[in-house]
Amino acid sequence: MITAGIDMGMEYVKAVLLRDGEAAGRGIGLSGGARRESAARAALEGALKEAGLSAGDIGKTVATGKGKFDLSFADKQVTEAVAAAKAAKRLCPAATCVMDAGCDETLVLTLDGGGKINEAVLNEKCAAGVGGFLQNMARRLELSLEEMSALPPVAAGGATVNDGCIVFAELDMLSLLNRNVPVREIAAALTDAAAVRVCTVLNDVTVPATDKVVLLGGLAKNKAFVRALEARSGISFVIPDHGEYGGALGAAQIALDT
Amino acid sequence: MTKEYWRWPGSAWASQDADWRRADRITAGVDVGTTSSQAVVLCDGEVYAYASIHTGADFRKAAGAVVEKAIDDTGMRMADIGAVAGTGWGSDHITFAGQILDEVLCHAKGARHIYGREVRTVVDLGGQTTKAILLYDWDRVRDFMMNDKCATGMGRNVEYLCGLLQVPIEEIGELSLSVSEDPEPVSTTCYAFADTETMGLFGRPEYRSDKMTDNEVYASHMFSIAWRVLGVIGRLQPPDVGDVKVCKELGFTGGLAKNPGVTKRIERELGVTALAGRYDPQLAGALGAALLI
Repeated sequence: MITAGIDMGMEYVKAVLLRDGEAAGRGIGLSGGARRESAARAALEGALKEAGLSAGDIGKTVATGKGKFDLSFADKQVTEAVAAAKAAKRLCPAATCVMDAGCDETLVLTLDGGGKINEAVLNEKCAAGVGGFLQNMARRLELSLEEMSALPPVAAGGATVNDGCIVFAELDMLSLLNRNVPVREIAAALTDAAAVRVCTVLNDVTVPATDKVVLLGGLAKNKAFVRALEARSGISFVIPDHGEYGGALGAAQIALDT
Repeated sequence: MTKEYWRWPGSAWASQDADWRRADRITAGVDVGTTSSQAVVLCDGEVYAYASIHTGADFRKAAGAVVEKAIDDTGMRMADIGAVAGTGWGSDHITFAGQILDEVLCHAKGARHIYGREVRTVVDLGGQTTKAILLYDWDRVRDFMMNDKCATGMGRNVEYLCGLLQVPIEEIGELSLSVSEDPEPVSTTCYAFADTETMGLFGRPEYRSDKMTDNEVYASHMFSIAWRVLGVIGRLQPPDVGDVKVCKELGFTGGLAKNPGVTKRIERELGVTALAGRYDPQLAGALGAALLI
């Protein structure tokens, strides 16, 4: 049986296809609020092409993500937490905690041995938009996302920006530019501040084991961010390949299981 | 490559009629802002050429590039310009400027030139700062207010939002006005909250059942920006006469002045009609600097 999972994120829609439970294809589409359904079709098309399948082959489709109800052709919707938990368990059976860090939301879950959710915490308002913020700062500083990922760590005594608020952080960034601080150093400071904000979500749960925390979401691809987050939280994350497809993978697995 | 909806087009213009070689005095004003940079070149006090670009990550480079862009194809070289004045957030980096001038003064002077002598209230809607300036009848600033920290970054926020929603930045203002009635604004406190709330509108039952349109979502966000600007204007010293909130001879300057979704809502709430200007309102700072040196 072919099952599809579609994660309707704030910035990107991700699609994953499973053939009898084995990953068969992945696709991505730029979402942007109102146009999520067309983005979902583009993402699914990409996944079908990779898998060498056609839309008629799909037995069941499950949607998740912020725009999960926008998808008219989904058979079922599941919340982001449930999809993330399912994906984490599939990618790392020993996982006891999951963090999903995306464009707008950061979600942290703790899991019991069977993969059931114990605790689920979403970022508070001021820690929203961390992924979007870093992308916005990259644009402003004329750095590509690859360059953002390759940033050096923040040096001791180096530049810092406000780590409580993205509005203040942007002003600090502009002050640092005025002081001729190198762009990469400023970007590293912004990345570190983003990591601190994400840590506020981790602090709201009791992490059962610091070596079995799975990191999903688009921010998992940003190596500089992950390093900053590990330094700030003391956690050594399990980072699966294609972590940004975590929600979609979880949804596809749920389509298979139910 | 995906389209960069947030990236507004730069501009450049040079007079075809005037000949700079005949001018007695050539001056230039350069405004290196947090988000955009402008240069205006005057020949004997008349606007001869101008340009507007994205500031980018290097203020010094932006300062040189914007002047080069303004005088490109005119045959004029940097050395032909008699005096240069700089202003704006990155003005310290305009190494070729003979004088650095205060932004409020430059915007007031520039607005007078754009909107004529009658303008009394100048509202500068920049990338980061929002300034409300009250002028005397003559060219002097009577009072001015700047946004507090939480109301910063209005222009930049529109850029970010357009990138996220994939709506061309030149169109979002007009689109937001195509609504029969303005919906409630999203958070009027902070744009980080407003962004999340705006994206959340797309998930609301009203939106999903087509009772709320895309344009109403944009309207909700533009209204929240207008609201924050109104907070700055409201702190200006009220005029001496009449039961009015501001001197109604009002002119907008800055990049967001070109977004009617913001300006029309401010006009509506204040009960005024903004003056129509002779030049691109984004040039006000650079123009003022060029006039003041």
